[in-house]
Parts: sequence; C-alpha cells; structure tokens
Amino acid sequence: MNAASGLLTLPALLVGSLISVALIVYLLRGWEVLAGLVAATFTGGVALWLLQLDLSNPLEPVPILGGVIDVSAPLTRLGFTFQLQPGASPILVTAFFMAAGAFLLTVAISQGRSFVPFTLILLAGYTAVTLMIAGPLAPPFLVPLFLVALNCIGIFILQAGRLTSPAGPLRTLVPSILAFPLFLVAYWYIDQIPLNPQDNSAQLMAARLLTLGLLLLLMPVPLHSAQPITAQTAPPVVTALVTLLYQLSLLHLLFRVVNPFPFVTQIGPFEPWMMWAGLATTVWGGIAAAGSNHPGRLWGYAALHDWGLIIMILAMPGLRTWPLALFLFGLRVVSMLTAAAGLSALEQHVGGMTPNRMQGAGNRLPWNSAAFLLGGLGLTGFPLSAGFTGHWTALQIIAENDWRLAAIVLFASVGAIWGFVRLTRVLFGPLENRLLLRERMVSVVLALCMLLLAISLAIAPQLLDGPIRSAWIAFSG
Amino acid sequence: MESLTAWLLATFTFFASGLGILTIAAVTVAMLLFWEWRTLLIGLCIIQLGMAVLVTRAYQVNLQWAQVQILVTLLSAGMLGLSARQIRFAIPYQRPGAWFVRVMAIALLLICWQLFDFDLALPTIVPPFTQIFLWLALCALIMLGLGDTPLFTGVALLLWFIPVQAFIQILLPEFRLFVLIGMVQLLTALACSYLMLTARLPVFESVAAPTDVAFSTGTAPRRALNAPSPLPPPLLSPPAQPASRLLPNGGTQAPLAPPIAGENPVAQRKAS
Repeated sequence: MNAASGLLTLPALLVGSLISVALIVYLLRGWEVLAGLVAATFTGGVALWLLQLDLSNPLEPVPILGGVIDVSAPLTRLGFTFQLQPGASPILVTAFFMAAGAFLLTVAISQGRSFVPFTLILLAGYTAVTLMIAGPLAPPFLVPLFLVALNCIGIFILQAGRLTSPAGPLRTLVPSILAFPLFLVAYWYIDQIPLNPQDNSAQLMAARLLTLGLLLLLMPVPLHSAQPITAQTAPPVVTALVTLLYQLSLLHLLFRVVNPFPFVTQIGPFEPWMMWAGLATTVWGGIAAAGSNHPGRLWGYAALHDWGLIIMILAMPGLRTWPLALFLFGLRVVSMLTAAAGLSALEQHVGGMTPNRMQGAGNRLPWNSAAFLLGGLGLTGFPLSAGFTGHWTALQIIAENDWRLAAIVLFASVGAIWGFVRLTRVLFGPLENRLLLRERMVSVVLALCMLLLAISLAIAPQLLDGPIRSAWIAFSG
Repeated sequence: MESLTAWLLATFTFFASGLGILTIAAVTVAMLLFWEWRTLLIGLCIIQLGMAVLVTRAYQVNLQWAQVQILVTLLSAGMLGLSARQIRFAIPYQRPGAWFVRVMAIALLLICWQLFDFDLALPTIVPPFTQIFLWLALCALIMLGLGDTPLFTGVALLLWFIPVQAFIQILLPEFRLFVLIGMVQLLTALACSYLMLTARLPVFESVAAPTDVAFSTGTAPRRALNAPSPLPPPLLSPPAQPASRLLPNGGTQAPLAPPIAGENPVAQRKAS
C-alpha cells in the first residue's frame, strides 16, 4: 500500500498477486493442466493489462479485483524502493508474455510439477528486480546479487526432480556468484570519483570492474557451458523460459549500467572486450553445434551462437545497436519457444533426448519435429526462419565496421545450420522404433501455433516494429 | 548467540596473528588435498571463524557481522552435511581424479605464488590481508575447476563467499548488504544441497562431449564397475535402447552403456 494515498501500489499488486497465484497453483500442482491454464491466463492477462497501461494517468482501475491502483506510486519496504519506470514496462510485458507462452506449452506437455509454482515465484523475483529503483546501494550494483538468488530458485525447476546429471543447473550459479563482488567494488570506486574529479583512475577502475562483471554475467565462451548442458538435460520449455528471463534481466541491467554511467563504454575496455567475447561465443556456438548430435545440446549451442551475436551488437557504438539488440532478442524468444515446444513433444514421445532414440521420430511426429527444426534454425539465422532478418541486419551492421568479423559469424552460422541439417536426416530417416506413437492433437495444435508465429515473423518481420519502437522509446525515456 | 560469538572471537584471537593467517591458508590447502566431505565442511567453518576474528580485530568491524557470518556458514555447512550424509556412498565416486592431480594443482599454485608477484591492490586492505583474501579466492577457483559435483562446487562457492563478504564489509559497511549476501549464501547452499540429492547415484560411465571444454567431466574411476556396490538400488532405470546405427550416413557406433541414474522421459508426472 502507498502510505501517502492509502491506495494499492503497482509493485505490491504485481509481486503480491504472483506469490498468491503461486501458492494456489502449488496446491493444484497435481492437476498440471489446470495449474498451467490458471498460470497462463493470469500471466497473459497481466501482460495485456501492462501493455495498455498509460503511465501518464496514475490512477487505473484494477481488473477483476476492482478498486483503483496508483501505478506511479513507489513502494518502500526494508530500505528498498520499487516503482514502475517507463523503461521497466516493456521488460515486464515481455517477461509476462514469455511466461504465459511457456505455461501454455506445459498444458500439453508436462515439465515437472514444480515448474508452474516455482516459475511464478521466479517471475515475482524478476519483477521485483525490474521495479527496484533504490536500495542500500544504487540498483544496478545490487541486481547481480539478486540474480544469484534468482538463479538458485531457477535450479529447482531446471532439475525438475530428475535423477540426471546436475552439471547444467549447477553451472548456472557460478558466473553470477563470481560477478557480484565486482559490481559492489565498482560502486565503491564510483563513490570515490567526486573526491578527486581531475583524476580518472577511479572511473577507469570502475569501468573495468563493471565490464568484467557484465561479461561474467553474460556467460560468453568459456563461461558458456551451463547453457548447452542445461539444454541437454533439463526439460526444454523450462530451459527456454529460465534462460530467456535471465537474459532479459541482463539486457535491462546492461542498459541500467551503460545509460547512467557513460564512462563505462567511453574510457573502459567495454567495446573490445564485449566484441571479442561475443565473437568467441558466436563462433564457438556455431562450431560446437556442427559437432553435436544430441538434439538438446545442438539447440543449446545454436542458442549460444545467437546470444554471441547479441553480445557483439551490444558492443557496437551507435544509435542502431539497442533497437537491433531488442529486435534480435524478440526473434530469439520466438525461436527458442518454438524449438522448445517441438523438442519437449519429441522428448516425451521417444522417451528421452538421446540421438539414438530420435532416429526416424520425425515420421511419427512431423509437426513437432518441424517446430523444433524451424525454431533451432531461427537461432542460426537460416533464411525463411524467424531469426533470418535479425541475423542479416546484424551481419550488415558488423560488416560496416569490419567485414572479416561478419564473414566469421556467417561461417559459424553455417556450422550451426549443418548441425540441424544432420539432425533433420536423423529425424526423418528410417524409423527404428515401430511402436512409437503418433503426436497428440493438442501438441500438434501448439506446434502449429508456434510454427505460424515463427513463419509470420520470417515473412513479415515488420510485425515486431511497433513493439520494438515502443520498447526503445520507453527505454530511452 | 551474541555472547557465544564474543566468546569465540575472544578465544581464537590466535587467528589475528601471522601464524593464524598461515593456519587459515594451510586449512584451505588441506581441504584441497584431502577432498573429503567432512574435512571440507569442518575446514570451511574453521576458515570462517579465522576470517571473522581477523577482520573484527584488524578493522574493528561490527560484531553483528561476525555473528551473522558464522551463523550463515554453520547453517550452510549443516545443510550440505545433511545432504552429504544421505549420499555418503556415492561421494567417493565423485572425486576429481586421483590425489596426485590435486597435489600437482596445489604444487602449481604454490610455485606460481612464489614465481609471480600477485601485486593486486585491494582498496582499503593492507597487503598481508590482501594476500590471504587472494589465496582464499584462488583456492576457491581451483576447487571450482577441479570439481564438477554439487558438494564440491557448493563448498568452493561458500569458500569464495568468505573473503568476498569480509572485503565488502570492510569496503561498504552496510547492515542490509551483509544480511543480503548472507541470505544469498544460504540459498546457494540450499540449491547445492538439493542438487546433491539428485546426483546421489554415481555415473559409472559418461559419454564424453567433445565440445565441452570449459570444465572437466567428473567420471567415476573404472574400478567402480566391479566394486561390490553398497548403493541402494537405482530408483529409476528404464531399459536403454542400444542403437546399432546412430547416423544416417551408414556410420556405426557402439551401443551406449545404460546410464545407472537413467535418463527419464520428459513427462515426469511424478516429479516434484
């Protein structure tokens, strides 16, 4: 509640309702379809409500609950202040839409009973982090610490009670734990800057620490291993959602660091470090994907390749880079969720993700196989896939600076595409397990919806223009 | 609790001397060398106590900080210990190679420490303390590099937290900040404890991933296959379908060994 006006505040409403729904859904976790539907309806509804929210009009009626809410009022608890800023709104809308999509997919294919309630708690955490505007230290320096806590929660849903190797979820913890002290020390250096404005050594040190911390959090090569291993062992929809929520939060953090502290990019080694880390990531993702025959791992490496390209774009100076990075991330969301929908159905039907079980599975599950392949190819920028336009634009921008880098990225993309071509031959090769059942109608419908979305964005990428433009306007204030 | 902490800090003032700092460093080496879960957890608590004494004596840090830190480390070690006790039969198979590898790693660290001058200047920290902070951080990183199992990674992360917490407390003495870091530390220990339980069955043979170069793959020694198994029966062991042909290009591959823990089908309706 807002003490001054006595009205309910938006942060309290969002975080409180997420935790309440999580508790309800936890009680319903035995009925996974019902739990998934409730969570999808709730998160989708909140996303739509946030999308049409007018921040210039502070008093808004609350849907269903009734009453009026003060959307601009801050909430202060335990020394932390939360408020909806214009830049946070697109982040929240994207996060809620992604969660709604993932919950909808779990209606057809179970991802573990803990998935829905724990993900709602995770979403509440990410919402709080996005809305945080003040704390014991400035929020950008505290966010990495909160990301460690959120990664810890993410571990429980990534492992999903499976008795498989926990290496993937475990490795997600390491980079953020190594990174958070760098942000705290950088804060100390920034605090020292006014004491001696003529000397820029404190600025330089802070810029180096922040760049190194951001790089650790972005998990480029060689800190990347959590992503492919998680994709190999964890349920696909969970992998996609947890990875995307983390990376969305990172993009927001990057903006919150670079925007108020421009010296990070101006005097520090931000640009070369990010560029080389991004290049190494995208190249290694492509090469490793070419050598992977495990579908989950291949998907993980394709996602790594795409992530490397986003890092490279973020490293480049200029006005076009942020809208392009947001555009690439939007396409990444669609591609990853499409691939996850297909892969989860394949995994459920063939009883695992090992390559030998996948032999010929595409003959019995053509729509889900197509969803997985098209989603995966979207991450590599294959023509007529969702990611093509984004990758092509990114390559052009990179080539404007240095054509050799663009050529290397293109070569790496070919490697990743080769991995998917080989998998296509496995999936649509001779069927080994003649007892393999055909795909169910619900999963066919979901795969078709995801395919339709991916193909729509492939042939009409301008569909994302509006959301990206409004997100960028909100970001830049 | 406060009086107990004050008593601990007053009794173990030895840690605030040069010999005490050397003892902390030696305990860390012993942890790396023995690589046994009880030694690791006890060592962690000793290092935490030593660092608490050191920092409170030298920097006049608030007693509450030492109290919270000791409590957090004890709770974390307790959580990891409870899980480790449940999987104590599997832990011997999770060692990262032979003891010789660990001896070589420590020897390499000591040689590098002597040969290269690690001239890292931490703000507001005097050089002897910088050395012990750096030593603990390096040992934590080596532990992270050697082990890829939840117990040893968890211990390594907790070891990383100890100098970080102390340094941040000296640099930014803010009550809410150290409480926040303590909470994150507990969550990390909880997550690692959970993962330990999911990895309670040793993987006897793992398919090497040629693209995974970032971390070592923790595999059990070969002799484990013939050793009399004191393990509980596998909870889930779906019969694997060995494939004679993996690739459509006619290439053949030997059938994969059935995983002991079993790769479950996705739809874990019973999973919670």
